[in-house]
Amino acid sequence: MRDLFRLLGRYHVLLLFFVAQGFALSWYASSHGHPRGKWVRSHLAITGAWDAQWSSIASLASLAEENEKLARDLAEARGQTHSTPSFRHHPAKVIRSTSHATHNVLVLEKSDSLQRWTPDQGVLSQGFAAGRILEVEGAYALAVPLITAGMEWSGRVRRDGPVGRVRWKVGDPERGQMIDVPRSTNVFPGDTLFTTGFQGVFPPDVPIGRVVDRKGPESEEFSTLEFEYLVDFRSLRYVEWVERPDATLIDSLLNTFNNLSWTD
Amino acid sequence: MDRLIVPLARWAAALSVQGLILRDAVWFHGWFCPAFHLMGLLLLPLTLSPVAILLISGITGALLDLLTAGGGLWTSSALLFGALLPVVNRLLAPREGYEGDSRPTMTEQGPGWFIARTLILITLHDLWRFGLEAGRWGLRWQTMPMAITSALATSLLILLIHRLFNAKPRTR
Repeated sequence: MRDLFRLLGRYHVLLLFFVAQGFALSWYASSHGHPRGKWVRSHLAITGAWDAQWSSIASLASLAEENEKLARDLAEARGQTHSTPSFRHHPAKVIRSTSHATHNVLVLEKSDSLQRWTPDQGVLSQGFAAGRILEVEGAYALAVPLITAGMEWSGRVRRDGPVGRVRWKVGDPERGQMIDVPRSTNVFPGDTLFTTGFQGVFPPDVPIGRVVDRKGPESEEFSTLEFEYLVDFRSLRYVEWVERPDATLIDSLLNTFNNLSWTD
Repeated sequence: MDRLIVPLARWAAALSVQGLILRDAVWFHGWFCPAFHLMGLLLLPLTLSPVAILLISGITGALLDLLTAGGGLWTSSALLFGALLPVVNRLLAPREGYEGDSRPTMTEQGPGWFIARTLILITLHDLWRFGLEAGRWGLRWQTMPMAITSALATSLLILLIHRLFNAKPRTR
């Protein structure tokens, strides 16, 4: 008996290891079957709260990716919804933009390589007028936003009001001006300015901005409307570009007109 | 007192990292499944008794199994690790043995000793862990290379972290 105790004393570590290992292996064998039993419930009780916290941390990390996917899907859906036989909308991603320079630019990347974009096509953001394509090269396009000095756009006060020239109030990325608005026109703060479609860049009746003020002396025949753009040019991520399928036909008509020799 | 508190704090920190953050980490299609909690066991005092090491290892594995739904896998592997740790310590011991207050760090025992000990122990641990898990499915031999890459990557991770937190003080 004394020899047994001596033996146990000598190899007690090994003995302890085998006993503990036996428990561990039987735990392992019993847990990898169905049902997995009591220990799984213990595990769930211990880690449930942590799992919830960890999941919320992990979801924060993927929030940016989710947002981008949503924005892209939204632009595509909007493109499909707003398309008409005369104007087709296609999504594009803004990969570079400036909003605090005098001559601001947007660099766009189209998501659908099959669609063909050309200069002078309109750019919309969330259904609002945002700019115009200047140059294209493969999947990329250079566009000017409405907030670019020296560019004028055709606009209309409300859907049925008079037409005026829209330009940027240089230096303020949130505000623009519509000039040459007849003094006789009833305009109120909050009225919406729309595109006319005359330039062939935008479809007609695309919202541009909301009137905030009317400027110019009462004695003059024309006044200037100050408005806030509906597009936030500082946070453009996804836009739509507008394809006009009959653009070639209209351009050819205009060329014919330009080439006419006026003899009278 | 510090001689026990510091290693225990390191053990708790390593176990928390593995159990709460790296709990489900399976990287590179299974070629790297970290076992960072082993760092806490590797840094236990050299003079700690084999029974204490075995018990701490068993507790480590069991806690990890409860945190990760390992179902005994981590316990079994950690017990093997705990049983082998004093053996490897003895094998790598200097001729005159360890000094009473010597710590199992790279700065005190040298990089060769630390790297060899880490590699041997973690490789054996991972071979056991992967083998046990794959044994049920008859994939024991197929997972062996994965066990080795995982052991190498875990060792590298532990060496880097250890180097980061135990930089040799500059001498003038």
